[in-house]
Amino acid sequence: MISRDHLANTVLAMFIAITTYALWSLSEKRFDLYISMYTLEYIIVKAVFRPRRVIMDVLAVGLIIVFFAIVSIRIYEVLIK
Amino acid sequence: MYVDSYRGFGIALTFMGLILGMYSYMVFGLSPLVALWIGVMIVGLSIMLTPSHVSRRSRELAVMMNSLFINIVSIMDSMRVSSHNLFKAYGDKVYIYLSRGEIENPSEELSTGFITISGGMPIIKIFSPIDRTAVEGITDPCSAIDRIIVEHMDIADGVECYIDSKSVIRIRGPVLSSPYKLERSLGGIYGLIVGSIMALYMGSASIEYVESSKDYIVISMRVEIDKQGSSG
Repeated sequence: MISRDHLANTVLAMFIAITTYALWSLSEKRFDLYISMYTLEYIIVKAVFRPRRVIMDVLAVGLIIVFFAIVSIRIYEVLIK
Repeated sequence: MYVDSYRGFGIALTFMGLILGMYSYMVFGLSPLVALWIGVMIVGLSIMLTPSHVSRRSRELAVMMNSLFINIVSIMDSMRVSSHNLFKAYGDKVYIYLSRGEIENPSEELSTGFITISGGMPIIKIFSPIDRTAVEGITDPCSAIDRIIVEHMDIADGVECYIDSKSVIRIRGPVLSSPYKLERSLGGIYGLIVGSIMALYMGSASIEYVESSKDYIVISMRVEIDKQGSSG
């Protein structure tokens, strides 16, 4: 039986591949949208499968920081218009 | 840090994503292609962060606990007092009563001695290693079982519960196996944990049978709700 760690990585890879294909086929050019979707998918996979990590989940922390940076930039752009 | 072929594949994906991402950025700027390589890098990092083999201290402690209870139950079995069990919570502690016959609701006095004769049969009392501090802040017994078995001790992949007066707990991907003697008396290491937690939430619990296979363990138990252990 496949362990939940390996299953989480497989599902994450599938999610990312599907998202990239879907957004690309919709001619989506916004780079930050892709990264936000990847972050969301990683957090969902992490919450559902709870994969084990050798150290603290630095990837989740990094992606959340990037996600908040993207959101902040978007809000800033709306405010200065 | 030990790197097996799986984690090596993760490292390769990470570097591939990084190099191709940088190259794509220099050629096309911030384009979906760069995002694709970042996606590859995320998958690579996720694989890289996945442990090759689990050798956590908590799991080693669980193995030790398993061995310890095998010894205890072997002694009980030689005394022929381990065929029936009852997990009962008194305050923050859980006591496990073992006897050769059905154990009726034991009084608190019974919790003071190691061996007590009740109804002509000896009842042996042992402390459970799980007490209320282990489940502090969790309101639901199933979440508590999941937290201890999956997250803290890391000895299974998941837990499914059906909780009623006759509760069934299904443990997915168990790591440890207990000998038949321990399974019959305490429900194995998983039964011991599940029984103790159920006693903390419900008051008392008794394991009826344990069904084990490579992929799952099913623990069937009788639960009695009383005031003593219902606070969670």
